[in-house]
Amino acid sequence: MKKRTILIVEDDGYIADILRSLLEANDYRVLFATSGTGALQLACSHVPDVVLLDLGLPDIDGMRVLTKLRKWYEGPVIIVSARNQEREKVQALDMGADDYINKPFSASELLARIRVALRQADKISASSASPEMSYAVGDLTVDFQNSRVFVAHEEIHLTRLEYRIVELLARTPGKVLTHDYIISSVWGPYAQSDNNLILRVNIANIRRKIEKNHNTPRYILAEIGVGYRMAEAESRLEESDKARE
Amino acid sequence: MIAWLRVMIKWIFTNKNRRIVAIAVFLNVVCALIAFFALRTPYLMILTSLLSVYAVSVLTMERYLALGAACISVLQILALLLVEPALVSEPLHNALLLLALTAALTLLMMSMITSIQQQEYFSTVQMDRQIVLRTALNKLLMARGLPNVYATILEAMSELYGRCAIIFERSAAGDIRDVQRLPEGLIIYESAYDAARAAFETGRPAGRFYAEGAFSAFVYIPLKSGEEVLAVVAVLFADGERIDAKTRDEIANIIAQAESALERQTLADRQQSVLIESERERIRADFLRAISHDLRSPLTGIMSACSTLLQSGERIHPAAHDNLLSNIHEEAEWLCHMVENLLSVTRVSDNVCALKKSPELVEEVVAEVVSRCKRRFADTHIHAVTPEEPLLVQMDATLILQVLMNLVENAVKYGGGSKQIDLTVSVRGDAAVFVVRDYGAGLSPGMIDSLFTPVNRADTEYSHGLGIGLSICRSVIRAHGGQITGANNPDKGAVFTFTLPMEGAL
Repeated sequence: MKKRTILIVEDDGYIADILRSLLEANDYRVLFATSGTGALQLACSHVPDVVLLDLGLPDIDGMRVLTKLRKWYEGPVIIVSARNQEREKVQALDMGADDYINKPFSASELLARIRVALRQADKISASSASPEMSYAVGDLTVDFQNSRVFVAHEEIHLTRLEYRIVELLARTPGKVLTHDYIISSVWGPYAQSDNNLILRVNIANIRRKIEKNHNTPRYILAEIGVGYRMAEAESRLEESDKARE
Repeated sequence: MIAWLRVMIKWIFTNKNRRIVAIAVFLNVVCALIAFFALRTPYLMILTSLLSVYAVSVLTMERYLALGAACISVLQILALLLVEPALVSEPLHNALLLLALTAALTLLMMSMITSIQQQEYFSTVQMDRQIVLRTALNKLLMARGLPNVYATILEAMSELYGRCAIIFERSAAGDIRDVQRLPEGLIIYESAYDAARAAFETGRPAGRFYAEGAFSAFVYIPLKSGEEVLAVVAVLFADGERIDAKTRDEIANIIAQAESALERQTLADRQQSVLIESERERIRADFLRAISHDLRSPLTGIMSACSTLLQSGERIHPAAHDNLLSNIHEEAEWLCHMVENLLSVTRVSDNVCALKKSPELVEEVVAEVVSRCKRRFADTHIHAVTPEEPLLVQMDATLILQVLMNLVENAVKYGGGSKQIDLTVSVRGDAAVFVVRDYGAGLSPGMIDSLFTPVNRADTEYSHGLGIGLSICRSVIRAHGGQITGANNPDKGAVFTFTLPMEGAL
């Protein structure tokens, strides 16, 4: 199988070196850019499979790099940012980034995110012809065709809105959907997204229906301050992390 | 007979007035007898007895005693006329002269007494006023804090002159606002603020009797410290009222005293702020010392591990090699958390508004804590309990997560061998209560008092981070308007509890 190419946009040479050795050790081809302009050029000429974008760049603002990149580039973009910068992450996700990873990150977490992103990208290109029929993770099955949800083969009764939230999340498992995105997709673009209480309450209710324990959710995972993601089917981020550490 | 007399004497001497009358009568009789037997002149006798009674009445300030004495004297004259036939032969005009004399003397006495009494009354009023004034001035001397100074001025105006008064202040932006008034229900018109502003700007009195703000019924007197107007006192005057020199002097006196009180106050405030500043400086220095100490030990660990690996990496046993690496990782991770904590502290202590509060589902925060714990402390089990009903609480989730992680981290570190930690969230009144409990040795009694101060362990040695972590927890929780406490569970282990107010959550 052909080596996947990853473009790393990172101005810190030390971290870049580490990332290079890590990714090359895991059979990826690595491209490097230390500035926004360099990143755009490299992306243009190589069309990488994944872009790892640090938002703090010396020349152009990371957000602008993202917007410019998104004009033509359809592959996954993973934002690398510090913790506590939730607003920035939300903004980047809303502007077309696929995922984010907090600095400092563990090697396993980064690899897992890259795998998820690549799988997503593959799925999108494959499923543009035939959309998926259902999604299953653990005991949870979402039947998109019949709009039904099962946990351990038992049907769960969700309200229409609750089902739409679950479906939205399950269509892109592993991907973080921001609060605003979920609200505008489920309630429509004119819903008051600054007040996301209604989303929280719905999620809390769904969780009580499909999770065994709402304090240790397995399916709908909250990214605090950012949004929600559906647990990914094959590679469980949590478990792989646990095994690694 | 004797018993009757005793009752009579008792009746007389139990009352002040009767006592005086009895003494007067006694003196009268004695003088009369002396005059009669020694001098043998009835006129002189009457005169002396009369004078003695007047003396008593003046001494005791009894107008009616003088009147009574005069009546007795008249009776005496009549009695003498009956007893002494010689007097009858005297021309009647002598007796009439005596009567006139008696009447004149009585009137004189009475008017004298009245005027003396009046004077005395006035002087007591004056004294009272002086006392009120003096107490007011003394109070001003003692007053601490601006509100007290203002209240004292207002009370003095009300007690001394029965006047309504208002205190105005000027904000930094130049807005005039009333800060205190007496009586409470006093209505302040918009125009009052303009007149007060005039007093603030000119530094001279304004309002009634003055060119500026003459439309107002109040007189606005600035309270100055140097050239700066600290406040303006507005005193109400009735229509057409004149202000006399004495009142003006007194008011000026009060104002002067208030000014010096205010000046003292600002001086004291300044001193206090210098004190606070130096205290803050000290805390900051202690904090820095504690941090540097905390940062140094993991850094030295990392450096020595790295140099060992670089120096003799190949010769080290693979297991030891891995061990060194994982130690480096652990220490670095701890350092990273530490720095994150410090960043939060600057965020919280800079400004409360810097909190990015939003309603968060408590169960999501708890779930995040549980999942982070799984990653960091793989062999520790967190037993999490949250209310069955979805609970939304206003919080800065990143900071609260950090607080919970700090508490959990402590619980792991000091939990002894026990790998069980309870994290419970419940609702009590209008607050969400978070409890983190471990099953370790618990806190030592000396620690409980100084748990949340950053440098509680300059003398005691223990593993790094607790002091700063907890002090950060406290600043975060305080910034949220909650409280945090640490205690020992009666059963076993330490319990940390914090509350977050829930008003406005939904």
